[in-house]
Amino acid sequence: MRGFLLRRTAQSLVTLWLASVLVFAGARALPGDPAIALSGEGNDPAVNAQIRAKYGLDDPVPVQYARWSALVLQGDFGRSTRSGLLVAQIVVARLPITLELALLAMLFATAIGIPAGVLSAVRRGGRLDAVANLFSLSGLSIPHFWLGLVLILVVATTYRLLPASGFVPLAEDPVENLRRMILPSFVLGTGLAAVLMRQTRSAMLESLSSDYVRTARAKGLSELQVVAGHALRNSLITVVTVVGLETGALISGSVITESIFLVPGFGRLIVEAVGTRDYPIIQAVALASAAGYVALNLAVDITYSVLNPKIRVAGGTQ
Amino acid sequence: MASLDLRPTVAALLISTVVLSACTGGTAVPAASAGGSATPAAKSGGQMVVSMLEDPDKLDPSLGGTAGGREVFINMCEKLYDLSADGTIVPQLASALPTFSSDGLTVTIPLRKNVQFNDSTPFDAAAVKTTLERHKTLAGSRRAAELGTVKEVSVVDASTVRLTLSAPLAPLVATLADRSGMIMSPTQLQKLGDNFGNQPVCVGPFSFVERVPGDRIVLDKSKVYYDADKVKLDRIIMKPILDGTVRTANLKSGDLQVVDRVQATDVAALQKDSSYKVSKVVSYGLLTLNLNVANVTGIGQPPGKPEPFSDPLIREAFDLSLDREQINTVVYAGLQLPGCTPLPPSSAFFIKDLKCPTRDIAKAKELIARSGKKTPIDVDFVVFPSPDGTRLGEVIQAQTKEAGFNVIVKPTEPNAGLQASIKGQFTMSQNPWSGRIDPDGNMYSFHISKGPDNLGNVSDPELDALLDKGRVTNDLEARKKVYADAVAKILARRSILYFAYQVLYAAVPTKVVGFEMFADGMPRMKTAAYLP
Repeated sequence: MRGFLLRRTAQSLVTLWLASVLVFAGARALPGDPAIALSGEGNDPAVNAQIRAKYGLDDPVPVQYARWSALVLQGDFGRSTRSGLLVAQIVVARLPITLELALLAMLFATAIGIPAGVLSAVRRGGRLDAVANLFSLSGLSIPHFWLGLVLILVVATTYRLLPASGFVPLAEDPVENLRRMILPSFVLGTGLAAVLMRQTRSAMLESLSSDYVRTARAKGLSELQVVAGHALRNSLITVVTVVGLETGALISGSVITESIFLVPGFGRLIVEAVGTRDYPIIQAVALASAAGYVALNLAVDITYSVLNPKIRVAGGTQ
Repeated sequence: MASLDLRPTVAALLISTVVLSACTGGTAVPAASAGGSATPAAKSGGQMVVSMLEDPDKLDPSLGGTAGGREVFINMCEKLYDLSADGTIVPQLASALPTFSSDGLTVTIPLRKNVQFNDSTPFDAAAVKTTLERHKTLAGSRRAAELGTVKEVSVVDASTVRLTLSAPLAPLVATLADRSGMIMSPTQLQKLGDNFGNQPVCVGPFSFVERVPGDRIVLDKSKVYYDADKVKLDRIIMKPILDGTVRTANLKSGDLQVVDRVQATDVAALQKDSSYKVSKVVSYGLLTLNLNVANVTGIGQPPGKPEPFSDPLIREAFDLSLDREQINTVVYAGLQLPGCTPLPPSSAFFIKDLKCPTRDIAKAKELIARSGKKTPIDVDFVVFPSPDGTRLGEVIQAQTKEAGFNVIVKPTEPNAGLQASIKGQFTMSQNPWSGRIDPDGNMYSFHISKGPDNLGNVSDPELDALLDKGRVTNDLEARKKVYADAVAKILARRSILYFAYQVLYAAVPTKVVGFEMFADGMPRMKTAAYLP
């Protein structure tokens, strides 16, 4: 077990290193650089040269990478070339916002998608099924940008039921935080809700035609007991798997939603950083994302190995 | 040294005439004010949320280079001089316009007394000297070139500062009415050094509270501001909102109180809505097309002959195939002001009698025939990846097709576009310019040989001489003549085709008064307030 853990950890570190190299090189492959981006309207070659010298951008990329990685290993991610603020502070401030948005979107999606899928399956061919299918199709095909603007115009502008945009930290004002997160999380969650509805419907239809459901009905159980206690319970295995797989997509899909609703999250941060060629931010965000995925995979591997010792053996450990 | 009071001359020089007709007879308004100055009825207190064009770079007047930064500075970092509603330059932290020595090499600036920075540090001549010297010497300073001819800054007494110049500099007062004239607290400079922009402290109606990058910049009413009676709001929150539709939607939902730039497609609807006031101002900004005339390996490198615009006949033919009125109507909903020079109607140097080229397809075809080039002539056109950018590309594509051009529209991310243009890897690009008060700011770096914004890498010693002369000529009429001559050469050279002067639109709810936007396009919140 110890050997397995060490090997998996080593593999994860190598993956992280490769990701950091790719992102570092990729950022520098983009046309322009922080000096050009900072020049705004006034392009002054002398000043641009000073900025490049200040950030060591004239050095060969491997030298820049070595310097950056040495600092990162000491926990120093540098300062944003755009704002001059500490990168670590910026990243730490914005990551929880996107996580909150993704979590709320997930809640929306499950709260809408699963019941809709169940009803659709139970009332197969009926009006409810048609409505649920229409919802599903809409959820998958309506662009987030369009839906977001329509909701702002209707909910926030016309009826003024909720704020149009912005973010208030949860710790500062939980109620206002939720009010401002309802629309963006709804928009972000619609796609997933549609997927969940389809998956739930499909899994439920399969379950409802199974022998054990027929047996349950034959035993005289109520329809509610049959659907909720037997069919849905088995169907949820598939649904939960989908929810897990879609988590990453929610976080990466938050970019557009955050831009429409002015949520200062991780997605907007990376878009802004790429637009302004803010290399330290791009690198830190990409590294944090990669670290998250690597850590998650590592945790899954470890969990599997605990649950199923054969995996360790298959991996070659004794 | 004999001292000559040039204040009347400087004032006259900086008076921007209100010109109501440009080439097209369009109507212009020099300054926008939502409800004028805050009336006594306006209540004190409250906060307003103001949109910004972009998330600013460092909030440091020495290092800042973005328009977003200027929008923040205007509310918290006062300058030695400022622009007024009627387009004249007026003293702000200075107590009067400067006096120039007879040779124009010594400039004496009297300063306001009993003024404090927002950290309660006294504002005095020593503070001005500290700031101006930092502007000149700090690595990466974007003010160093602007103050390049300032040899020495000396303290005459606590409320007088003297600048010694290496050469006369006519645009100096206009320069000191922008970021070069913003004075920073010496206490904060000593404390934070290069990181001053993280917690900037200046003299201003509002003081910096916090910045959440990409989200907001919060400014609170200054407790020690010398003109505090005029400041009504307790707080302003400035939010970068890049998308025009989102800006308008937020105004309508009540989440924004000031939209600094209303996109063209929303102006008419907001004007019809009695809940909002839309104000407009003809700025110093310009809408332009940069043609690659001689840039093959970079600005300042030996000139080459890139196709097709190295040929002056082709440049003229292209210009004559444009319909500036139609561009304005189709691309900008008729809301900009068609024009053809770098001097907009808001400038005192605007040339009233100048006739802009009008569309003449027959002549354009004739010029192309004379050039010997085969049609269609391919022109790659780099535009911003925005609805306006694409529309501009498509309209110009359609207009020039008739003459024999094949414009290929290439929406390109701005940084990538600028980088390619600097290296000479472009044929034609869209290059708007927000404009500067003094004509030098709208012309010099774009047209002087090897100038950093001379993307076409064009060189003309006679034009260079005129632009240099404009910098050292203090007499208003003589200077007007210099710039009129320079404009004639620029129009004939056609390395940049000017097609409109920027008209800016701002919107606020009707309950907001005292918000002002002058020709520099900056949202001024000093007197903004709510009606009871």
